[in-house]
Amino acid sequence: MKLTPDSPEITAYALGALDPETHARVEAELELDPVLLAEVEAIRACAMQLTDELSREPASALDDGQRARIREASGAGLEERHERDDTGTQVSGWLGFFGGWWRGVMNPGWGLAMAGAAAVGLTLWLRPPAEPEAPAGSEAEIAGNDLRYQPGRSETVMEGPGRTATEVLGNGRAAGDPVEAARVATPSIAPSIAPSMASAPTSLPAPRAEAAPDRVPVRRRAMLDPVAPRPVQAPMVPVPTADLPMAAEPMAAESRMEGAGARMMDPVLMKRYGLMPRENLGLVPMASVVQPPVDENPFRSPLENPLSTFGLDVDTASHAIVRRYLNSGQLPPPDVVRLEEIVNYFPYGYREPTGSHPVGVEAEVATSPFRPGNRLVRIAVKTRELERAERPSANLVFLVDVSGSMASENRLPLVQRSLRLLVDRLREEDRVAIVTYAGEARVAMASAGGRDRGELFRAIDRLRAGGSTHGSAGIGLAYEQARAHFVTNGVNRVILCTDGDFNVGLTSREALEELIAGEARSGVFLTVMGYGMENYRDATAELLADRGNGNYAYIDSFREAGKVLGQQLESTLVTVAKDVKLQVEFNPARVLSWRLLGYENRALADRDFNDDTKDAGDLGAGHTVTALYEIVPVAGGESGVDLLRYGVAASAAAGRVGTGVHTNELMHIKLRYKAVDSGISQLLQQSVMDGARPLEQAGDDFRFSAAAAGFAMLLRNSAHRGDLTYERVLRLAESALGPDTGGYRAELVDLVRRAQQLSGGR
Amino acid sequence: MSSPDPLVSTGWICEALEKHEASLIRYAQSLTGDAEQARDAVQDTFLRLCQQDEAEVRGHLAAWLFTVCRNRVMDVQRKERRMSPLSELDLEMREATGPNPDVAAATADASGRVLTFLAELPPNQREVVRLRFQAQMSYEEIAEVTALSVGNVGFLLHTAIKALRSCMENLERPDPARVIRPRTL
Repeated sequence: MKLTPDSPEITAYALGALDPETHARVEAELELDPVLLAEVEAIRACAMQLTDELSREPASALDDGQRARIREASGAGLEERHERDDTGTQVSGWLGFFGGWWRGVMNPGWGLAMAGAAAVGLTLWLRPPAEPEAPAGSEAEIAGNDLRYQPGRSETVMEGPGRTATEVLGNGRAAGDPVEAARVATPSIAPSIAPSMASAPTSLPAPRAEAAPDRVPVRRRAMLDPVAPRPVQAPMVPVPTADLPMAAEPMAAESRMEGAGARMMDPVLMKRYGLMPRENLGLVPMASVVQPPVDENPFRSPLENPLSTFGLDVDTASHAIVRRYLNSGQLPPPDVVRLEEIVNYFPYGYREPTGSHPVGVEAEVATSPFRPGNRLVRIAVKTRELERAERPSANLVFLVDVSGSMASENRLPLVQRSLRLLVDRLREEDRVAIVTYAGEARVAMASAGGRDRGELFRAIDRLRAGGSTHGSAGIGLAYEQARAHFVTNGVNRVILCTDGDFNVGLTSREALEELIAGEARSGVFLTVMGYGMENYRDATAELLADRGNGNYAYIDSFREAGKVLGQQLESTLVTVAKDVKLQVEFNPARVLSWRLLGYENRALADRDFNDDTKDAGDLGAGHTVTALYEIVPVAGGESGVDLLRYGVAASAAAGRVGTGVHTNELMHIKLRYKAVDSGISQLLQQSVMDGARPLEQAGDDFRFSAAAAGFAMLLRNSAHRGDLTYERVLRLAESALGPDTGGYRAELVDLVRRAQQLSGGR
Repeated sequence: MSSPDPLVSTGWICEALEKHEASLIRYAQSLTGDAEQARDAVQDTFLRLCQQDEAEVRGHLAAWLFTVCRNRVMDVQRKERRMSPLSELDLEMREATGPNPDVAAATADASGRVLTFLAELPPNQREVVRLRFQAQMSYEEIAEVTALSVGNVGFLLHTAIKALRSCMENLERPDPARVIRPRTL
């Protein structure tokens, strides 16, 4: 079939209404035609707006007489539905139909928030400080790593991928390794900190009063319409109907509440600072307001640090956060800028792995854009692509935070739009359930198949924000749902949608981590999707996603939702390689010093590379991950590291060390991963020969990743930015746009311009 | 601590009413333009449902309800053929949707705009758009309700969205900041 923008199939495709076969045919044709792809995006945008606006359209409801007639005809005692829920927190929409007292129901979150505002303390969870490094060359550090270039220092303990983890662990502990001991002894949680506004970063956006104009009609409709905006929970206070004038009274009451709320404090801030009532004080608020600072990786000498080891990371949340700051006219605080997440945000056309491994690794070397004479090495990791049709069936449970703070436009409404988008992409055999938590956890939609799309849409439409965050049992209920519909060999995943300030009903973070890790072992993974700007990044959310073998994405816009749940849905859902770790050994005969760009909080002890019990990031289908190293070559170049006067450096002067076999190599890359159903890792290796071509001759992907890294370095005020300027980053990025499907690279160019303006044209 | 949803665990008529009342009334109202008539049609629809065997409608309940409701509206309109005066409630709701194009265009946020344009489309396009994006029906369900072919539904939706998009695009001014001038390295 030859499609044009006038083909109705384009619209049917965009709306997910085609049968799988036609869908695949259209998809194949779209891939080749950027015009049609853009058309699809535009149709989806329009569809989403229609759904949005139509779902807000008011509807009147049947009157009591009509209801009574239906009741009679059905023979069922509908009135029995007046029964109140024992918990007193959930009110069925039915109650409102009959008594009419719904008119008196107000959003309970506000009143409760006022009442509890002063009562509660705040616990901040801080990421523990980076683990101190073991002394260079200690046995513990290099145990199990056979050094390729420095045989004299090799401390091979065991060989091959089949070694058991306990042996390695036992090794470290038996030796009384002080680092290990220290780690065991140090509680992984920082002590609680008293609530203090001063502890928040000063660069936070000022608390905004909720934008009133677009909220008024919503509330007004709530008055007119007892059906559509049904509170998820409401106080059980029946108001006698007869005494109430139709709409005027509750509206006045509500606007009073709103006014009071706005004057006192933005509810979002109240919640963030722990000022929401927490009925069960045993619950642990998991807010992470303070962003732990990231210390930039320094240049290291391969003589002292021959190995660089870290877990791969496919999170890209930092980019969305940076974008949000820049688009609102502020430079982001340096600590929210994670270089690797910005680099990895962009799609790269890396070669797909061939052969039996689901993951492949390649490297390319060019001159560094940061300092003349240095080299930039790009390590490109790519997992096998998965067509929509070959994805195993999915069993997804959305765990949605519907607490009061989720009400603003970029939270619950955006969650709803994201969910609609995902439901549109479902296949018939996929299943989705929705669990919500606010005052209480409930199943908003029991697991339904892709065939029941309409039901799912209606359940999504019914989600309403209100109340405080007590996600008691929310996560437990979500896992329960996931297990109940477990798909063997399929995708089983809980997807948590929250504005970050969630507690999930367990008494400690350890218990929560244990639960999540345990569920991950039994095959139910966790993805965390962060919504809303104010809790701009949640280290806990990221940690939980890591524990649950999952990923963490920050959804700041519908477009971002489209990326994570639309175009890249297969990557988001299907894990193809677990615990992916990278270890690079540098050849001191060629490398004077090296520096890993980013991945600071993904660093692993060198010995953990071969330790299969040590977790690392997981990769989804079709993921690309990029790691960049800046290298100061032995011949010429400034590293800032003096040549050693004594010891090994003496031999360095006379032709360096090494076996003589691999002297032309710059470095050697090792990658370990576990297949999804295996606990034992596989090893991939790749040597990189010395010799760099000029940056200008490197491919678009290489240059663009360098530009993205440079952008991050400037935003972070990196000590290693060298000669780099925004102007140079801009030129580099613009020269490397390539086909830019989706326009992500062009967007970066925009962002660099904004950052340049905001920083005074530097 | 799973709390069973009282709405799910009760009788199927109640469930149907809970799920479909609002969207049926919206739909009926978009056909009649009158809240009173819409409510009557929806009441009649549910009264008819009460006479149905659940097994007969299971699996295509939404389509069944909308079809019956639509027929009901058509019947009434055929009989009456007159404009009913706007009720007070109706007036208020119209105000709340804000169909005034000047206001809509002046709002920086695009919300509400697309509905303004929707009102300009031919009735058959308007109807399929509502069934798709308000009642969240599949092409097949829409075809069942409207007694059109699936291909017809696809064509109407496609045409409607195209028209709406072009209306929206005319409103939006191009943003000069997004224009990228390529430079060489």
